[in-house]
Amino acid sequence: MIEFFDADVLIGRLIDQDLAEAPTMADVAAELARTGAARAALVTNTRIYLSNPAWGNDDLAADLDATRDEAGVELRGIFGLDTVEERPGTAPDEQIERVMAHHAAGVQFWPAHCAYEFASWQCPRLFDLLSQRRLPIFMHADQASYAQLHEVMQRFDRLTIILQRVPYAATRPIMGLMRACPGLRLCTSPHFVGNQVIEQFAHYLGHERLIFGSGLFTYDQLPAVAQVMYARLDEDHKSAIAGGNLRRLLEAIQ
Amino acid sequence: MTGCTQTHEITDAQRDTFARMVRGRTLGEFVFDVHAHTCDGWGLCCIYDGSREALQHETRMLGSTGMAVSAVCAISGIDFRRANDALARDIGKDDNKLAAYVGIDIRHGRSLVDDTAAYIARGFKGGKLYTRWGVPYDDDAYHPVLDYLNQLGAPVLAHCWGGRDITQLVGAARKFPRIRFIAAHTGSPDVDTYIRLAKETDNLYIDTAYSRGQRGLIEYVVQRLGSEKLLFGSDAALFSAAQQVARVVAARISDEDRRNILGRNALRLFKHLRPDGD
Repeated sequence: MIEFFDADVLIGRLIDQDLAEAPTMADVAAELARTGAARAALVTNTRIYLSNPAWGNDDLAADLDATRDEAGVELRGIFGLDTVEERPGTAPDEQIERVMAHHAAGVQFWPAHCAYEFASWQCPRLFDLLSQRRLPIFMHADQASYAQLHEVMQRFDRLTIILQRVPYAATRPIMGLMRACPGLRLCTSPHFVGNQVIEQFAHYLGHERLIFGSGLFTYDQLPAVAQVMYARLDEDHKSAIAGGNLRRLLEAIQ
Repeated sequence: MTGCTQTHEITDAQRDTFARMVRGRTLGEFVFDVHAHTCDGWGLCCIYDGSREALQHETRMLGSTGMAVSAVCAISGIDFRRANDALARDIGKDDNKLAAYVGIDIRHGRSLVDDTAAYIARGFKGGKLYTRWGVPYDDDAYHPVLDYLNQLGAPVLAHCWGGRDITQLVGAARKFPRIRFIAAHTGSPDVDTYIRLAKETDNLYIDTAYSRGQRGLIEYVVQRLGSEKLLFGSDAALFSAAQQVARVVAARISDEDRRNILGRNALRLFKHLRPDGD
């Protein structure tokens, strides 16, 4: 049976949400058990972009510690960073060391939410360090323009960026962007619902560049699983998209 | 709508369907998709393979019983005749799993009734309306063709995006009570209007096809409307039918509600029109 590793899970309270309804790390474990497709997930939280990355990181690390012994579930964090390199405590090397101490699977960028530019000049030392450490950047597609993504990836061509929650109408530009930027990966999600987009991207760009993600808790996990499982692909390719490609990226982190 | 406070104990049947989906097996559920298209691509998204064969691959993989389709170019472009003709050739040679809607070209200038009747004579089962032409569904221009479809008691699928479209569709539904209207895209703006109008209007149904199918949306509709007027629609081959089915399968609703949405409700609308008469 193909094992899924979910690269897109967001927990925590949204601005217009009652605290009691906010998804927690325990809900992640419960949802993985309910669906039965994935026993592993990368999780980030809303506090990283709605409040302060450092506070969000503290919460995330504490939540991960509390679920570390959860039977049969592998959860890792995607942490936040401050992109103003000059502030006290935000030197890129310090920030990276702090998140690496939590066994980070990557870092989540929120340029639109947090009012900074996704541009090579915004945080060049940070981009350089992320490239060296091969620590992936995760980013929702609505956080940067195609031109911004292209500019950063041309300047830092060893960066890995995993683009999440891509809308289905973006098939054409994303295909062109991925062709131009070899470090760019596409995260599947229930918003990228185009018929046979999995097959299409695997055929034209290589299945290695597709990473499974569900978009929990905006979406359920099962729709994203179904999109991969019913794709007209070899089982080996499905398995790579479901989890193998992500595991290879995580193993490469230095 | 996306919160984690919804409680629902997973049933054995639902667990079985989950297990089938995570293995890519047929669902073991009766599935009838009321909203699908054959297409070669269109402006909004890039279609890899919109052929009848690709659609049928999806139905086979899922074990679906049937699909009601229109040709996408006949609802989004200007090539109605060409697209309807292509679809007529498709439904003439398959295994009777496709029921076709005639794409209705409200601005063509020819007799819509004659055109539509010609396609009905070729085996089409209903009509498909689209808003892009700027003619409201309750406009008099639609009356002749809707009157014709009303006499047949045919289903009519109508693209709707928000409260204004579905309100105009209800205007038509009140004038043509024998037509079973299906308003597409529940979850687009004004979902509460969809629910209220479906509840108030006997011959109005709503479908599930939606590209941003948030967690909790199906549950929200079922809690307020019940499951008898909500129909499964995928919008394949624009969307992945498997992905859209999974939205219903994953919902925290009863087995009865899930079965109603996936196929039983559609069976009531399409049964006497199905080519094999089953």
